[in-house]
Amino acid sequence: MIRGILRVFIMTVLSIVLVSGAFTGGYAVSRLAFPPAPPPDGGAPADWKPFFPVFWEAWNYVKQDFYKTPVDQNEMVYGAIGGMIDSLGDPHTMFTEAKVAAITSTELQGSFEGIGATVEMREGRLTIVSPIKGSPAEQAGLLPNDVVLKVDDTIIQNMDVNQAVTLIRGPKGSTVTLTIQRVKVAPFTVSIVRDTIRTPFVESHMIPNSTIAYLRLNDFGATAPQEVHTALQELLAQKPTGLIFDLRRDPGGYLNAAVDIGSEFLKSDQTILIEKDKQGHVQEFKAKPGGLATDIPMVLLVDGGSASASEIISGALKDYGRATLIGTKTYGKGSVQNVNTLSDNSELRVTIAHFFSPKGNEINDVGVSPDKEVKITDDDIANKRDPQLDAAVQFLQPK
Amino acid sequence: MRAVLRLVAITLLAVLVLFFAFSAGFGLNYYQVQSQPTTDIPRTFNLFWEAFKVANDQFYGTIPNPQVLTHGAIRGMLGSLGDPHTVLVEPEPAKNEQTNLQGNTGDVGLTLDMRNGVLTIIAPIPNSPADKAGLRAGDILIKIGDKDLTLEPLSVQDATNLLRGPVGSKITLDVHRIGVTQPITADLTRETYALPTVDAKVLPGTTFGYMKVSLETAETGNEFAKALDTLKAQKVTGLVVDLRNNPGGLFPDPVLDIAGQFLKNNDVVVIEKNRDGTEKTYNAGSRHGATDLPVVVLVNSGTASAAEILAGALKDYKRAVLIGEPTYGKGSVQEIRQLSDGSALHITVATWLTPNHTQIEGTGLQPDIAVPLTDDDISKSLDPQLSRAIDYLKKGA
Repeated sequence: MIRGILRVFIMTVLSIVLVSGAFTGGYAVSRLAFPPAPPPDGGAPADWKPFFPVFWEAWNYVKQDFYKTPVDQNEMVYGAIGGMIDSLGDPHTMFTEAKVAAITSTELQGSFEGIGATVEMREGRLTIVSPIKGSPAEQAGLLPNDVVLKVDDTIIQNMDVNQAVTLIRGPKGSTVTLTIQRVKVAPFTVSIVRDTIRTPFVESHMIPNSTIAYLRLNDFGATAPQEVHTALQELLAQKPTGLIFDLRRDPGGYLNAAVDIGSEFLKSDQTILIEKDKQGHVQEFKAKPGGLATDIPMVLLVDGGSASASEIISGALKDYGRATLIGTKTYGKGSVQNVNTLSDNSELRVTIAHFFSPKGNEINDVGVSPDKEVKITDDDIANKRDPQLDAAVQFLQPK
Repeated sequence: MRAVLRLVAITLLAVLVLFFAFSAGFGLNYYQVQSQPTTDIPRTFNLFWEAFKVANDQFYGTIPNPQVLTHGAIRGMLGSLGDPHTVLVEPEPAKNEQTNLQGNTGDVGLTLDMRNGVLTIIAPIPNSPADKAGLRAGDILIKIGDKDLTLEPLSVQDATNLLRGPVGSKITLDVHRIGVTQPITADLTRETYALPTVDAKVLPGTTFGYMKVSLETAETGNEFAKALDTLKAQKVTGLVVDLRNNPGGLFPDPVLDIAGQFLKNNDVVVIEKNRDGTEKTYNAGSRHGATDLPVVVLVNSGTASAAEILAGALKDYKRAVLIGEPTYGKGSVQEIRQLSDGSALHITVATWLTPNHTQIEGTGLQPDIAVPLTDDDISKSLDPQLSRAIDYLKKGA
């Protein structure tokens, strides 16, 4: 009896082993005959080959499973390029797909219609660098470092900066609604009527009841050096005892303009900036002769909206002790971009160099600190007070 | 002779069985290989390598390693789809996600979503640490521990993982609340809390039953049935079902079961619309326990996901009146796909439509009777939404 059970048991085990062995064998033979295709590398460079197949896994899942169909394969390729470029971690190195690149280049030809704010993409968030003085953006109360979450109904997280800009721009008189996130304030919306924005723009006058001249530059555009030169001539003819140069909320512009304008205040051959590229090549830009205001006591007004070319001037005048910097720390954009046109007319803007102040101080991400920090509070703005300008006037006032 | 025949028969049978087993194994692999998704690399993809080459040659900074760039490419590719719920989860968080699902970690009880590009609380789970600390639906997370989200945005998955940790450990959150200027700080202790199910009572001074329903556990359907029986035994003449601040939870069972309590037939409760336009319907359960009682469903902006399905179905069949505020609008279905390097892909595979084909995702449901709840009401412990529901049932009855 026991033997019978044992026998049945052995037979059962043996059958299971044999059957599963046959199954596994069949599977193994088939696997040899029909191996699963490895994910393709899509022509990746050698050091990418171990890593890139996972991209095609994700790509396939999207094509196979994503609920919206059909997906636009070209947009996915553009998205992938944009994402790869974004992962370099530099907000100024960016990819713009062909059709968007075409729109932005026409808009750069002169004045444009929009709200008048310089913006950039920082960690996937569209950030206001500075509202242009007198622009609808400034009148609406936008501030440097405000993050734009939405333009009308479009969420712009991780969007290409140019694409976001084309959403904000539009015909004069039309309205755009922005959802803004500001540090320590709940997100809010603001509606702005677009207008024609003209740059550059120099503003100059004598400070009333004083011997101090005031010069403000809104943008380092192509004609800015000439406008600054003319304004300085007019101001100096009034024999001022001090000069206030206001670069607050000046987002910068052309490097050449920065060198020309810097030359007005520095002695010939003084270094204005040092540019270093990735191979370590160093190029120094020096002041040209013939500066109009190389000796007059001077205050430079700066704030968090003073960027790029504004920071070149700030760094140089500070390093030589040529001017006293009053205000708050500058923005921290000290990089130079090269604009590449790719084979399909897409545009790839790459940071190819950083610039440094004459003493070799890094500007990018660091900014230039004022000699004398003076802040402007919300209360000051509401009451139209300008304590930074007041501090500058007081500093230059003959004792 | 017979013995020989028998031997031959057994041998033949054995060979046949083994042959079938072999064929099955062979066929299984063949099927797997055949159903592998095929990649046809688009010709335009060459542009990717062209762009990389230019960046690699020119870029001033350090080029990250290919894995970082590959993940960047995946994120960008997913970003082009325009769906906030289709995202890549990096290997490390993906691993945490796995272990968190297995328990032993504490939590603060927040259901999060990415809304307008910022991390938003859908709703705190009732009686969780977040709920007890007074966090509310619609609050925007700006700080988790040391991480300042205004400087360094986090995905829903990463934030959810960051909120979890050993039971008893603490985490501090800063949130923005619309209309409040200063950020609100909440010190939370991670716990394992009992998931609420159904809370039922007769509303004092009325003949109406009140049921606050959570859809977090599989037991909800049974508990709801029990609570309903108790209320019916007390001869209630109307019901208020409170789905406010209900982030959903399990789908489909509790929802279908509860919807069935109110519907006479096994009607369609929700339609899952798939990528090819095919519609999969989910029908109501068969416990038709309260098909004639007048019902009010309370909803607000914290009513999300499975809770919106329930509210939407009862609204479409005019089986309930929705009172309160528009619902959250989370009506898409994600699946998790593991990628070979340990990262994971959360991919939206379908969207939910109410029986009348109203899309839940994005817009949410509109209440039949809009009644806001103000901060003033909250500070005075008033509930105008519930009061309106009682008024409605009194007039209707």
